Amino acid sequence: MKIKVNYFGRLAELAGTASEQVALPAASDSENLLKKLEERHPLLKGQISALAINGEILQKAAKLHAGDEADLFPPFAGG
Amino acid sequence: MKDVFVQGPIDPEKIAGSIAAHQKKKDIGAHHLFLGQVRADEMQGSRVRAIEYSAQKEIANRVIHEIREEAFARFELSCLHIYHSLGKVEAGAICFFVFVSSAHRLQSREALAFLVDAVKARAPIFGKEIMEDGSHQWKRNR
Repeated sequence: MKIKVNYFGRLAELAGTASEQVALPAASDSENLLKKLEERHPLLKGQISALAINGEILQKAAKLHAGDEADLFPPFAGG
Repeated sequence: MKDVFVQGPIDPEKIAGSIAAHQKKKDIGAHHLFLGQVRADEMQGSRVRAIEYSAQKEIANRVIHEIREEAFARFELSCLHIYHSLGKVEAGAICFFVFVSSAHRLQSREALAFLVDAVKARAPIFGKEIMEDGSHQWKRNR
């Protein structure tokens, strides 16, 4: 299944892109996605501070579905 | 849901206008304002010239809406307003404006501290610090 991934702030620089499609096996969850992204972009390791799926920031791992959209965030720095 | 984002710096005239607009509301006895200003920090021999803000706007607006609701539930407030910049804001300009009004000062004072801290901690907003020498780094909140 395919997931759209958006990188915010510093993460877009580390990944070398602001957005990409990622293919995952069926029944993958958000932990599988993070592991895959860190394999694809080793500079992301230890830099992701929050993940949102379809506009909801996750508090714990969640199942993913084809067509989901993931937003990856570095530490928030508003103000 | 209200869009808290303003493109570029927050104009001091807007802040003055906002204060003036509250003179009609005569149940208010106290206003507390927070104005975040871009600081020309010096790092590795160069100074911050500007911060370029970006955000996941949809989530940030929703989170800030929830923070507003929490503030109204916790404190006795007449009204509150939150604005945050997006895009480039030069050093010395205002990037974050929180305006809280209540009948008495204690409620608005405590609500303001809660609101400023909550927006900084919970809203997905990011700042790219552009240095005078053309390099950049990413803002980290203390």
